[in-house]
Amino acid sequence: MKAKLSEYLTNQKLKIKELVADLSKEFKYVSILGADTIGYTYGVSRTTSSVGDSSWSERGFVIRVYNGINYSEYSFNSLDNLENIKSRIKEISVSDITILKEKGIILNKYPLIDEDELTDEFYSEYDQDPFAVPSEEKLKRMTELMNIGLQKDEHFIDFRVSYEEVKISKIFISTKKDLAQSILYTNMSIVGIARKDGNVKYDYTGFSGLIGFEIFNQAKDKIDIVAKSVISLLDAKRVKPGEYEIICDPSVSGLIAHEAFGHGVEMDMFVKNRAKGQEFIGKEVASDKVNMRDGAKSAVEVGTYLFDDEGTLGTDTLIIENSILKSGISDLLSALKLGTVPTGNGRRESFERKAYARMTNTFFEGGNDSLDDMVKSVKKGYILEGYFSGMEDPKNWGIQCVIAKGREIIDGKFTGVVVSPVLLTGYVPDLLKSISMVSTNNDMELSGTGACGKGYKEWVKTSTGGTYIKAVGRLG
Amino acid sequence: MLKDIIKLLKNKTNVDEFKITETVTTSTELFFIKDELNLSRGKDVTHINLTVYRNFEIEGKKLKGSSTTKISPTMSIEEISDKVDNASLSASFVNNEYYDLVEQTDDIPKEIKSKFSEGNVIEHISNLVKDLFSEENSVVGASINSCEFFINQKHIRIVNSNGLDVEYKSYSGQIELITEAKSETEEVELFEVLDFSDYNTSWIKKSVKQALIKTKLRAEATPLKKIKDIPVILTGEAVSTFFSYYAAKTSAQLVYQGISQSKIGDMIQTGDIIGDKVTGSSIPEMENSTYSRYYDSDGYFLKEVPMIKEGKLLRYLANKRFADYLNIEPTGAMRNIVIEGGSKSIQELKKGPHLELFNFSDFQMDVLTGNFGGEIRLGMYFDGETSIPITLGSITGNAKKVEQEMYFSKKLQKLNGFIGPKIIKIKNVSMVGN
Repeated sequence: MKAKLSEYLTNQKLKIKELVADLSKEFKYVSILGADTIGYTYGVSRTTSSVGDSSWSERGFVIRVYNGINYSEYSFNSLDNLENIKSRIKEISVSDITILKEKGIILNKYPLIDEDELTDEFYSEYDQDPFAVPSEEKLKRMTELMNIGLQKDEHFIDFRVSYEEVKISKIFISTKKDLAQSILYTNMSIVGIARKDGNVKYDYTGFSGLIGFEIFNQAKDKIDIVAKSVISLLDAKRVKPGEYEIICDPSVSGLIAHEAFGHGVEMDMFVKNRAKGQEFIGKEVASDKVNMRDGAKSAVEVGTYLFDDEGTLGTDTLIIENSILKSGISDLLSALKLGTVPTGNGRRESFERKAYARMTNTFFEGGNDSLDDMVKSVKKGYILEGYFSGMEDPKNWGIQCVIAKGREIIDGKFTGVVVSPVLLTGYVPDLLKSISMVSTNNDMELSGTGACGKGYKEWVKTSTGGTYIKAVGRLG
Repeated sequence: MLKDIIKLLKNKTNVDEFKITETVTTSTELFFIKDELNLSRGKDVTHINLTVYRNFEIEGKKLKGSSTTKISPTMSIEEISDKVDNASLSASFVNNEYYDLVEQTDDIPKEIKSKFSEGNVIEHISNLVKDLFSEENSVVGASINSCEFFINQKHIRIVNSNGLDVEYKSYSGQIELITEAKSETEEVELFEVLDFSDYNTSWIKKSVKQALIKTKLRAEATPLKKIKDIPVILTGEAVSTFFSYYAAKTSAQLVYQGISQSKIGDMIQTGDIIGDKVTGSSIPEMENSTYSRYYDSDGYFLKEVPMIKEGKLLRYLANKRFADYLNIEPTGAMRNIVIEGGSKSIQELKKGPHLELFNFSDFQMDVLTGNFGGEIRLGMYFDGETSIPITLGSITGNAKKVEQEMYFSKKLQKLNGFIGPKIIKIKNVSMVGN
């Protein structure tokens, strides 16, 4: 079945078109993005459970106008008083700009957006409508999963299961564009928490997709994986700081892709001269085994859409091709400033926030190696599995990844020793140039259970992944 | 609209209790590259969060289920009614232990003053811009790359079915500041986020100048060499993040969930303590803190609460729900933390070889396990004789392994939502150098 555009947006479309037409009499460019996202989150733990609206739920609009020099925006969530809306966007783009200029503030000139006529729509497909399944059944199945987990070992003090279902509806109306899309995704995460000798250890797994309630079919198998991982952490050691051969599982590969050359090629950073990647376009930045992509059309996951939050159609960008940095990812205003073609990566946290160049579905493509061969080739090192967080440094190409655990490999065999947590740090090109083996696309996994920030804010839904990669990394 | 929602809820037989939080926000935002304005934004939004409660019994046990839903100002009363019914149905399957909602009290909150409450916001934000760029040339060799300015004015009202009806105003500002400097080989940058609730020109100027000084230092920094077994000095935000481990020890929620085993009267620092012991409290109002307020999200009236004294847990920090679960007096949920200074001066703490760390990519403390660490963006390595600015490398450690001998400066610093030691010195920290 297909996701449907929200009734609310469908009903408001005419009013929004009239508002665009009205404002177009005064401004050379006017666009309005309308968002109506519904969603619910469910959580069960040993002591409490919860149901509520998803944090991604929103309903509102953002107007963008060309103020004669650059662009001004107004976000609002009431359509009761159209005159007030018109008055506010004029205040922001005319009166306030005049005051700022009088205060000596200089405005950076941007070209006028030149759009082609475009009418299009997209509705994602799924098997089972999650909104049609009663809350009772969801909570019941989640509680069953939790209980299976808790029974796996006496050391478990909690086994938390969370589930989220979200349906995004968006319209983009400008003088020349009339776009609509509705995208439904679900995601689940399972967190096992255990205590031994007063020390608490935990691990989690997350899975997601442009799928419906059928996501629950994947959940049961994950319980055992999480339980085994957490139990292995109870006797985990700290890694002896140093440089090791590492094999990264698809989640860690994805994190590296995301932090290293995802954030590093967001082209609003090029405009600010904040990304070293800009001077490396066309140059070697990784080993010849490395191919990396990002795009709303690069994969079918939570970063998939027809158009971004500036009305640009999503694309499939080849970022790294056989070691060479080929292209960045761009929002519309940065592309205007740089004189490049926007890649459809202009995304907002919500209708209330500015659009920035953001990732969508980001991953390393598969290679020709097998995981078995990769493990056999390691003299002394670790396979790194799962992560807690990562942080980018696009200007100076540092990377920080907090990895959930490493399993020791010596002379091609697992020793049974587990280290946790592991901090993977280093200089991005050193890490990517050290990639010597990449497993095949049969191992490809993408996941988007969390959210990606720009700095410490502006959270958007992205998916990351890849296959297994073998490299040399600095662990601590 | 609130009146209509309350009327609707009172007529619903499937709603036992409710809580509504209405937040009306007006924002002004400016985005700069260098000293040029690239985009201006404004925002007027109203958010209504409704929590519907169902009280019921299963096998003689009193339970309370809840579900929270967002009501948009554009929703018709029929649409809201459907949302309430859905939330009510969901709440009836949430089998949480029973607790009472917050009641109205006679407590009168102090007015939290902010210059952002008066005058024109565009004037305020242009003053911030002026202050920030007035410092641009204060440090030779460093400059401002880009910055973003946000001023939010909020009016918050919390109403529940228990007769509670409280409201307050809140003001917050944020500047995201990117500073850059050129080294012999490449340009470097540092990233700072300044959060504030009042207009303080000298604080803004001082913060910008410090950021520029640190960026210039980063340009002069060399990658951290392989070193070990020297003490680490944490500064700035990392100090506040480090103490979040001890703040979490006071969490009633973690105790109820069985994650924390902290007991009142117990030492929260383990082992034989030969260093400084943690003493801390939570306070509702802190100067220039965006977390200052006299009501928590349930509408509970907040007062200062001493939490930890000389490493000993005095009291759990508990909202009404978890206080009821543990049968203790609630404190409300507070985000302003005060940690007392320690036994040593900054000069004493900086004696002898050490690694002093100013900026990380993202210094993290896992409050459940005590694991902490981060990649270093800027630090100063002192070998006992000379100091060298360093970058790259990383540190990792565990609070349980360092808390026996850690020392806090007597001198305090003030960050957003945190007053505490300006620096702390810890041992047994792993370092990865080049």
